[in-house]
Amino acid sequence: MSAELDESASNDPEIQLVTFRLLDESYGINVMQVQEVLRVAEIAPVPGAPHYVLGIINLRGNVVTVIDTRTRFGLPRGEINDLSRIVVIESESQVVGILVDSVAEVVDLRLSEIDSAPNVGNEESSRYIQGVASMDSDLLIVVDLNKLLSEQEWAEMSMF
Amino acid sequence: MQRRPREQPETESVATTLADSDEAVYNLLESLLQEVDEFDTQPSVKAEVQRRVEQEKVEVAVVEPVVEQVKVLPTVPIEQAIVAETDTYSEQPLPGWAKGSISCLICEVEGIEIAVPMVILRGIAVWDMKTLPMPVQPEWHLGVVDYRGNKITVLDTARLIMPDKVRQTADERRRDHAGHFIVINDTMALSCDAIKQTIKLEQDEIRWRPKRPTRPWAVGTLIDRLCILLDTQALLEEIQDV
Repeated sequence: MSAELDESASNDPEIQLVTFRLLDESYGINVMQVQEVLRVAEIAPVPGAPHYVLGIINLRGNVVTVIDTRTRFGLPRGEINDLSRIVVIESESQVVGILVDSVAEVVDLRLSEIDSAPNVGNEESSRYIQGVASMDSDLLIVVDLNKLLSEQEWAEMSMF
Repeated sequence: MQRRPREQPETESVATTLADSDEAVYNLLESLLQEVDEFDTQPSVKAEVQRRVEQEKVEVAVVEPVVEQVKVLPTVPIEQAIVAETDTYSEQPLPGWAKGSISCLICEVEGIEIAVPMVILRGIAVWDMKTLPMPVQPEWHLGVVDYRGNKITVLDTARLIMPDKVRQTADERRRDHAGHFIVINDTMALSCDAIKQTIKLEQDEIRWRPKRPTRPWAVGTLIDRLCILLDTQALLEEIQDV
């Protein structure tokens, strides 16, 4: 019996997601890629940066590029307030910050609970949307951070 | 008595040959469609098929040497090929002044600080003198001033490095100019809204950009102030390329 359970678990691994809010939706990202969550301090704009780059911050002597997640997801820009956070993530060997409206909680999910999102219309978003999961009475959009930017865009994140 | 064989006209002989071929193919197809136990290995058909196979082998044998002469290029794994194609981010040399301690002038342009190395500056002036707008010039060309007897072209720094942040039209900026300009060589100056201070930087206070696929004029970032360090020569080269 326990062997069967073990086999079942290995076939359907459990993952933990850090959830955050953008506008009226909840999004989840792999907790293993989250380094820390910061309150929003001064973000210095960078001349000539892409429109989805808000600017740079000094994180303990390191310059970290901050992405406006709303802009990247095609949502209207929002106002930064007390709930806004910068989630520092690591992806494709790059450390960047993503600005979100608020950070909620860490949830546990099984991989089987993530349903593939129907690929309708927007090919851009379907690239980084891994799927949709049910969370209580809400739906959670699971994001594949590695595909949030193209390979070239990731490489340029360290060049600001 | 031996009858001399009548020489057949060329077209008739071709037609006969084609007819023979058609018949051979027909017979072959017919044999293939027959039941196995009824299959009658007609020697003529088998021979014809065998002859054709042998003929093809000969043709292949003739072709093969040609194929062997073709040089087979080494295959590159797809991932490497893609990387080779896109790996254009080669390192670029840093400017000659980018060594040791660097004194910089901190300017403000459209609310954003930029650092300019003092070593390349020829002068700093309040932009309150008459400026001559030149006809048919790019939007970043704000006009010509007389600075200490020299004719200096003032460039719109904001338009050059962050055009998306510029709200005014070029004409408005030429007409309503204010602030300062910093002279970067014998004939060019960069506009700025304010001069803030001069600072001295050590190497560990700057994050250099050895690879500059975009914004070649942003040679580095001041870590504490989070502002770009401007390579004015690269900026001039970029506008000359336009």
